[in-house]
Amino acid sequence: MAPDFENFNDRMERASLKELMPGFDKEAEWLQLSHKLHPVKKRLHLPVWSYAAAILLLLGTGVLFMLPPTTKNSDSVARHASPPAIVVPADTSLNARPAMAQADTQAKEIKPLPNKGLAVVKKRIRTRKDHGLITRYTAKDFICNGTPCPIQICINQTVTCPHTQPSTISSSSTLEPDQSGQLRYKAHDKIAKNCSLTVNEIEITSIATGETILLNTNSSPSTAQDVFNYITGKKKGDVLAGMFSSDCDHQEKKHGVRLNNRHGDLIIE
Amino acid sequence: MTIGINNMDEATLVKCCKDNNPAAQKALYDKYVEPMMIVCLRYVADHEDAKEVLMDAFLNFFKHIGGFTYLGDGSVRAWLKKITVNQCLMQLRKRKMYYAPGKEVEQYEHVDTGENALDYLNAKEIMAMIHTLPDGYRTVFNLYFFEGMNHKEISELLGISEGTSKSQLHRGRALLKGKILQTN
Repeated sequence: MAPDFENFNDRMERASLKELMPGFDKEAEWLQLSHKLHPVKKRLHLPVWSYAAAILLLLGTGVLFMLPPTTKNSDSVARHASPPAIVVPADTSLNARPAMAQADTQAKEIKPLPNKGLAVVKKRIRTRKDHGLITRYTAKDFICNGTPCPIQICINQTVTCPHTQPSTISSSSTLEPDQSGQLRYKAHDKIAKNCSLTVNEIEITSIATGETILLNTNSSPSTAQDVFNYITGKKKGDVLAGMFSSDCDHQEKKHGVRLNNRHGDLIIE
Repeated sequence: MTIGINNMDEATLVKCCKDNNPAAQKALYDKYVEPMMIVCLRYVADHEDAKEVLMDAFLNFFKHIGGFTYLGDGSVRAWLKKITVNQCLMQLRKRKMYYAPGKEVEQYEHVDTGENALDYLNAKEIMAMIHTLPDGYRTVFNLYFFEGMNHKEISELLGISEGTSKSQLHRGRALLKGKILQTN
């Protein structure tokens, strides 16, 4: 080592950093170094108001779903849920099949949600399986046509539910002479609990002659509801529905049409 | 019986540092931060750059301490100083250290500064004098006078020829002598 600078090293070794660099903060430097040596996993720090906003948003959304439907919503639902009443005229042809009006009218099903007051309109595309659905929503009591003439029975009913317009259901059944067949209608236990079911009209048509007995709330000797009570078995016995003025051979021969469930099975006599 | 970090010997501190013990790391940091910062200041004149170099040096030290073998007193200091010097050289390389030619130093080549002139310089004045040197002169001067390397070692470390190392040292030393003469 050169003799002229040989003691520089000794003097630098004994030097104090405070003398050379007074502003040096070794603790601050250590903090930086420590963070690099032991990095802390970063947490996402969100301001408190963002948590509050998120909670309010969730609560608001929840309350929105709990509110009863507004008038606009009700109208909208009713418009979708209440198809126009379908009146099926009596078909006088012998080959006439049972009208499927009830299937069409039930294509839009109103399903009120419990506790929420919202009605859901469920659109349904009619498929082959619709027969099953009709069966599910419609009672299929068997009825025996004890007359020598083919008879068609159409039952028009009205279902009334809160917040919606009443809807009409029409179910028709054709009964061959001296045979048992299915009699379709909407049963009380197939509607929602808060809905009511009324029978507006029952048409009993002699297919051969086209003669129709129309029963409604003012008809006599029986109203539509009276006859319906015997159809559903609510009342036991027999009831006179009306009179046909001719038989199926078009002969002038008045005879009464009576529904009898006295022995369990419903029979048209 | 537990022994506090401050009462541990250096060998134990090194062992604890190998286990990534923050207290042991702090103890070694406290012991060597000031001399290592002085080393940085000798090579890197800018204080902020020097602090950055010091940080990187300690990071490398603690990062690679697992491969360090404790060989007795002074071994930690020597190893840490080596790391620090290397870090300083890396910093200078980043700045494209330039080995300046020194025609102007020829005039001081045979000047006798006298023993008294150098003996009266304190550490701060020595540091200030060193900082006046160009990067190349200063680096070789530091490696030769403070790190005790010969020209062969310096040439290998800096990737220069031994002749360049010698000329850089000669010119740097002559420049310093002239500055000291001017000061006195």
